[in-house]
Amino acid sequence: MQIRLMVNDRRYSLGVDPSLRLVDLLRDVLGFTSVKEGCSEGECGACTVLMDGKAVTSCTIMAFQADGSEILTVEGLENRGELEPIEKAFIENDAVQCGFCTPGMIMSAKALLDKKRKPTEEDAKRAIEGNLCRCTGYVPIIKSILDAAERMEEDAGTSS
Amino acid sequence: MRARRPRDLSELRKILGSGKPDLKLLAGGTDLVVHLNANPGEDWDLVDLTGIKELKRIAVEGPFLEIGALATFQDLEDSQLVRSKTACLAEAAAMVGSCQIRNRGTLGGNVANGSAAADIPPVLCALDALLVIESRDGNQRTVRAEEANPDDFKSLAARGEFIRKFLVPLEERDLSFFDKVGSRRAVTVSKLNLAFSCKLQGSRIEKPRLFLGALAPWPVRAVEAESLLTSVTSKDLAETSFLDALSKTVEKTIPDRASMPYKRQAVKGLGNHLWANLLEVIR
Amino acid sequence: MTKTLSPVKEPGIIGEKAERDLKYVGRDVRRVDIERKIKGRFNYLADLPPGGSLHARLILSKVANGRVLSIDDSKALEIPGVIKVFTPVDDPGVRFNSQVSMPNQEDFRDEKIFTDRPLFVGDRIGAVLATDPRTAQKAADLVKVEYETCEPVIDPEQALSSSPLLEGRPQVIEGRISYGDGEADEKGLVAVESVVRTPKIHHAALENHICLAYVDYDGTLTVESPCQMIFTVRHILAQTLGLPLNKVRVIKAPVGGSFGGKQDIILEPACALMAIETRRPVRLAMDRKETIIATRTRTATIGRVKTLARSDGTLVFRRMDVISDTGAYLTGGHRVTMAMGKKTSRLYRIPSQVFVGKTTYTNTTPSGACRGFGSPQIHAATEINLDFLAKKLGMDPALLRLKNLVYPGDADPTGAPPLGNARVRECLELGMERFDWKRRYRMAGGTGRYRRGVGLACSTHGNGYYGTPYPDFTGMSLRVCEDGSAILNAGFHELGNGTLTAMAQIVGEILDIPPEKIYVTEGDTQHSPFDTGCIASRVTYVCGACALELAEKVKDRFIRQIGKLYGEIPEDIKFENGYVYIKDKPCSDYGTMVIEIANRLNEEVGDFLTYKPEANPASYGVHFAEVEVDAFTGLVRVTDFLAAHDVGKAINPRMVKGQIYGGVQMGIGMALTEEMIYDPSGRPKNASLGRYHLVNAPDMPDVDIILVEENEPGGPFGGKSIGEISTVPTAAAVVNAINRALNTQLTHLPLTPERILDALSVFV
Repeated sequence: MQIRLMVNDRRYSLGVDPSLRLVDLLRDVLGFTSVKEGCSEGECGACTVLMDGKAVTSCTIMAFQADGSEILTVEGLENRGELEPIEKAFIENDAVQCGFCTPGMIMSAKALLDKKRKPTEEDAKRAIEGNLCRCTGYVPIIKSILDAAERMEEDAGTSS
Repeated sequence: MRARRPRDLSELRKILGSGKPDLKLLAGGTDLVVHLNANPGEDWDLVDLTGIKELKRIAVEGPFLEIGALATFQDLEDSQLVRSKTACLAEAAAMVGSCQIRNRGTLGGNVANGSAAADIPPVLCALDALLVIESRDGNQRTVRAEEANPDDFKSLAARGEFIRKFLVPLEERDLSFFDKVGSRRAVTVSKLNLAFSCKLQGSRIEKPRLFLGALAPWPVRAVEAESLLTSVTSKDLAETSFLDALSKTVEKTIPDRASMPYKRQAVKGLGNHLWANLLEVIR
Repeated sequence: MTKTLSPVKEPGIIGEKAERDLKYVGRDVRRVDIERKIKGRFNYLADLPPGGSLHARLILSKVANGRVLSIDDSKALEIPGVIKVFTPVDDPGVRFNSQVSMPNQEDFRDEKIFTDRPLFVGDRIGAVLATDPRTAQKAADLVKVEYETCEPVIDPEQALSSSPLLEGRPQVIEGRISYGDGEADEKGLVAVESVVRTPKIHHAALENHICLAYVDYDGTLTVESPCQMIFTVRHILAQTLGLPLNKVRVIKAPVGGSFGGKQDIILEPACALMAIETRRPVRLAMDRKETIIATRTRTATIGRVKTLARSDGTLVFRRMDVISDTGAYLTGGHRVTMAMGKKTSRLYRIPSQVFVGKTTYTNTTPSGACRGFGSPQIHAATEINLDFLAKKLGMDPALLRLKNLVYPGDADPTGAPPLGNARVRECLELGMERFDWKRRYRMAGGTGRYRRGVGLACSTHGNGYYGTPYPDFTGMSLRVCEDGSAILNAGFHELGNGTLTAMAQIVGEILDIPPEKIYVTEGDTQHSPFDTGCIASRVTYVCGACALELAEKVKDRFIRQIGKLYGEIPEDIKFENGYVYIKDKPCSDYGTMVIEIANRLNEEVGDFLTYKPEANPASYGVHFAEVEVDAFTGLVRVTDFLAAHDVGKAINPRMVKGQIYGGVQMGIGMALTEEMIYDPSGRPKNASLGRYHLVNAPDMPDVDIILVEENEPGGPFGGKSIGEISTVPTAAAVVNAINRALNTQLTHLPLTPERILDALSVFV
């Protein structure tokens, strides 16, 4: 089937097999390997991307369902120059150990930060409730999300 | 495997009109896509509904709040209309899965999947909602949520039918409530859930609708507990009698299930929470 | 009341450098790989373009106990893209044990690469090799295996008396550790007996198991694996495939979490076999379901503990009988059992103890190494028992601990290596104060819907293999390059636990080079000197100490080389921040000096060191938990948590804390939700993350941390282990808190809502 979509701000026109999932399209066809596959059932969140601005698990979406959509992964976030406040916060709080859950966490965080400029700790926990981590116990990740929000406020020139 | 993505309802009706037995309607995909990936040998004729805008519509139409079958849980949580007019529906939607699941999972999917643990059916029953099922020739039939048969939903596509929308009566409700018990606090399938709505006349409870889900294939009405609520004024009724009545419904519904002793007790937690809400509204 | 220590070699202490002068060690240095991981540029094996690789999908047994009668692969072979279907016929016929690293180790070799005698649902029958993963999966589903089934044994207590599940393999292995005068006459003493059950647990690293194998251009079998012991992988490959060790190359691939789950050798032999057979690169990847059922689990245990104490709380005698369910194959199962016993003499001063461990087999997923290697299980059994004793004595559980905990410098009464600078008392006392233990302990319980309680548990774990039957040594080389950067070459295994960063900090501290300029290699059996592996909590204490000593050796040599060049005495040569100073005057940067030494002395600036530890001190941790239990639904919320750890010296405090947060998450799961469940036919019932619940973000409490840093002699800068012990006392602390909140004696982990309500209905 022919589909047209935008991935990381670039237009693609592709022929895809009906059985191809979005995660396979992003990883194997387009090479965006920041998207990880951890459970294949939408439970671990490692495959989280933004689809039309919303956090979704790409392993539960067929590629053809993304026709007409805009997909954003960590690679795209970096290209846009929007990764920096999140990156700095993650580094400062040491929110990465093995790193496998990290891209998914970042996309869930991004979805929240786009919606809420001043998220609470509860907001942050809820935003990543569908992202599992076995290394960090979530503590530094939650802190990173709150710090990133503060950074973004500062960058925007608004006093917090 | 074949897949089609109709852009509107007329295209969908045309596809359904072909009457193929291996048609599978795809909405949120959180169940179907996972299943397809685990069973690569299966071949289906997939029909993706997520591109049909008319199916996502949420609007007031006469005496009803109309919610399209493809409205996502997040749509419900975000919708001012749903939050203000059918609060427990927004609450239930907000408690389903995780953000990622709420962004894709749909109202129609939750109902049509036929899972006994689904969270939306008891809410629909408590709100006395109607399901509107449309056929390939455009005809619609309505089913009262309380009277629906989940087996009906499993064969919809094969019969050339689909759930079009839900109609929730816009009557005055003084309390609309939902709660669930799972294996953890967030991101869990329900082991038990409860939906309730009622009107109040002073401190008298009127038109209570109390449904328990995740017990039977379809929500059951907690008749004993309801009758307790209307038979006496709320001031005289003791909470324990109310909770015991809820337990009785559980015992009666699943007498031989291994999980019955747990659910019979856990339902009191839902009841206790509802009770606290009731008292607050009555005051 | 601290005792002074007997002197132990202290390579970790630099005489002249005071604590505050440490530049990199003890600082929150950024992880060497964090940027790449954040940007999604850090490639795990599954992220590499497959190139010309073939893809394999395992054919796993659907029966828990049986025999393969026939395999019909005709339908599978019809699918275009299928290269070959491997079956038990292709097995080389050499049995192995997935934890044996040297031929002299006697653990029973019972596993085959492909078996026609499956012993659990998930056992490897064969594999399909195809041009892409989906085809391989489709084809594997089409391979029809006909089984003859036998009654499976699922229950470990039943397993003790069943006939051997595998012909020729004794069904029970028993081990015993004891010291002292034995069981005292109970008269005048208080006795408490309990049985604690801990479940089979899935490691749940986010990255599933995967392996890549190919025969290199010079005929060397090369295997890239996210493993923890490259030399063990090499040994088992050579053994099963009949290859010389020096023609088997194992490269440690990036790891997306392991926690011991990738420590056993599981996929490598099958992957290698297929690569050799087809002469094509083969990638063998598992999905989550396969990783859950067909790799390894944490050993399930039934721990019976009987403790005798005086009425003032002094412990007199303790007997522990542990049944260890190692699943279908032995793996390191009995090692785990005996490791449990070894911990019991290192936490409290108990005059006499008896530990009897029985390892037995069931037709379930084999258990293997899992974070803590038996310590979480034995501490669950004993720390919950100790709380029951406290209750019987009417004593605060913390005070009962204080009455009996070991002191720094204590010996191990079994003759195992001394405990070292054991600071568990500080952990408990500082923790009690910070957690406001006494006040919270008094406020426990209630009869309302929500009941709160606090609990604690003390624990110990080791630092390597010294003093055990297993070899513990390492070799490293370190050299400074022409641009002033450095390379530390050793067989490291970074798992996300921060090894590479910590080693760079240690070397950087000695050579005064920023850690970012030090490249630390990972394991490659063709290029790394031997190292026992990332196991047994040895890397900081043993490898860190080696890195430190090597850095000093290189620094020493560098100074003498410079002295030779310039005719100066070593005392007049100093290093600072990558610059060489002679008689306090700047001379040149390291790099320029390296070039000069190369040209004028024909020498490299670098050296090699082999190292073996001479101690195996104990690490300690005390965890405090506050819980709120919903007496209606049985759901538990951990509302507060404190972890106090005796770490000697935190090489990187932020990374140490990260390990603790993760360990606590794992331990809470063990206490409340994690359990692999089987139906009576041996089929796993919750082989998916939707059914096997890990603690998610909403359920994770805030975790307060106290690090006690009193210097452990023998450790680099006094540092010792944290990676495993961080999860050792957690479950026991949570269970103790729940029992306090509810006034119950729950002992069957995990304490699911059902089990909690079941216990409460007794009190209704």
